Amino acid sequence: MLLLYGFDVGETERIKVTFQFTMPNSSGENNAGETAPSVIDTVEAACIDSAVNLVNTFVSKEVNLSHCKVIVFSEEMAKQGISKEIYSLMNKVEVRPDSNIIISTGTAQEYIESVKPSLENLVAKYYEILPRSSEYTGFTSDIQLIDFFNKLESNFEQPIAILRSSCF
Amino acid sequence: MINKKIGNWEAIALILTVMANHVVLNLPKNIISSCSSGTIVNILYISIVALIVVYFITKLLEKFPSLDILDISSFLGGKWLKNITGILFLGYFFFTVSIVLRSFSEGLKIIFFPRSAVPVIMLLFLITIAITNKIGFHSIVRSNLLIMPLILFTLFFVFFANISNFTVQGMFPLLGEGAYSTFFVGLSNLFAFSGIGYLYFIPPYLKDPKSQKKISFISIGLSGICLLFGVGTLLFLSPNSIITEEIFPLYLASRNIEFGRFFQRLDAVFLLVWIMSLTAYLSILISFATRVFQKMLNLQYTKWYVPLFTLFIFSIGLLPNNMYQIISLENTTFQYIVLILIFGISLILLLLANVKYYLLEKKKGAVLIDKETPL
Repeated sequence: MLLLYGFDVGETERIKVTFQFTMPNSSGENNAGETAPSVIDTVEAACIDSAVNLVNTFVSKEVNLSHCKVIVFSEEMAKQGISKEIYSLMNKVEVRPDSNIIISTGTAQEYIESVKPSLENLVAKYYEILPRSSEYTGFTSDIQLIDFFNKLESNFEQPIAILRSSCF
Repeated sequence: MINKKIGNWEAIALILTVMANHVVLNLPKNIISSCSSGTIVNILYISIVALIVVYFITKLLEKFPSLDILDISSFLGGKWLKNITGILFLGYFFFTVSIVLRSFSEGLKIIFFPRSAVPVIMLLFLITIAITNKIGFHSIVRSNLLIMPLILFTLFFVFFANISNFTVQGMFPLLGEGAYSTFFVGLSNLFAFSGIGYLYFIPPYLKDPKSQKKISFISIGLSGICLLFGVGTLLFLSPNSIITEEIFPLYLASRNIEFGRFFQRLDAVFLLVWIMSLTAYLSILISFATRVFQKMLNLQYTKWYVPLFTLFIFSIGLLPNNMYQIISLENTTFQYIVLILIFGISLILLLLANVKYYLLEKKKGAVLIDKETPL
């Protein structure tokens, strides 16, 4: 199950995409109390679809994007422009429009690797709850893909995203 | 004669099912692509025009109680005109079923069954349609009446549950690309009310022929409201550029619905309701097609050729090579067929039949319409 997409500027290709998966059955009863393991894979490709296809060639299961809760872009990539990626994501039926958009101050890969939730066993639950903190604190906001896209297309609004440090 | 008649609410649901299903498919998207932000005004405008057309139709049908358009054609021009009208409507029913079925199957394939072949999905629908038609028209209409509240609920629910995501500025400027585009070019969006076509066929089925006027106005009025909510959902939720490119935009709108962390991803429930509703709609269309065929050839039984019709529809449905062709057929060809057949030829036939009626009335003092004509 794919939890998170991360986008960086590629070294050999246009983009570097980092995928974070949960291990199958990691939320089972036997693992109660233990932090659920996750797997991080990174590929470079020309576009999102190519990256997913590449990952599908070496992971044993087909990548399913319908549980992806967070999409992370590196600051460097955001500065270059992410409208192509946002359009691609919006056109993918599997991707949920309520996925959160995060801009990481370092690379997206560093951000994903540094996420070690201290009060949650499940990383998936952590990503689910994280943006909800905007309900009781003013330091963040619950920015979803659909909001971001609508504002990107709008003539009277500017898109904003959640800013996160890549070093916890 | 038709032994089993249908009640008022069954008739209303029957006409309303046309609009409800087209709203779920690509109708709002097509209207938005032609009128952009002026769509809301355009919908209100064409709804009023549709109600005026309905008023004329009910007035013109008053002299022919319990007769459908084929009987009226027969009265006007004899067997030849009846057969020509029958062939035109048969073509319309076959075309609509084929394109709607193919379009919905393609959408289902993209969303849920990416590895399944489209013909397999189409066949599953066609088998269901053949079985329901074997059971009979009355059961289809009753099932449709049961499903109708559900589909209406989903349409309104998608609208109200998405209110927090709405950007109402999407409806501005109110006249979109200008008054000419909204009111003159936009008049062609009248094709959205293709349900009016069924007003020509339901009189023989009605338990109470006097309530036809009431049925017509309620069903077309509700159709207008359905369309307004469908269009409003899309127009307020997403920019026009994305709406006009999407397949099943209302499904995408339903994916935004969430109530806290517990009630999320309700879209699968909506799709289930829409599948049931579409099956009922296609069954009704096939049922009308068999009825027209039966009347044209004076056949006693309908059951043997329903499977042949489904095979024929299956073949037509597979003709478009790609999604682009399907969208083009749905947008342009369907629009012209509805405007020419339902708002053009049929109205002219009714008008001429009324003229003939009055001329005969003047000549003889009374007109005897052949009550023995098998309905």
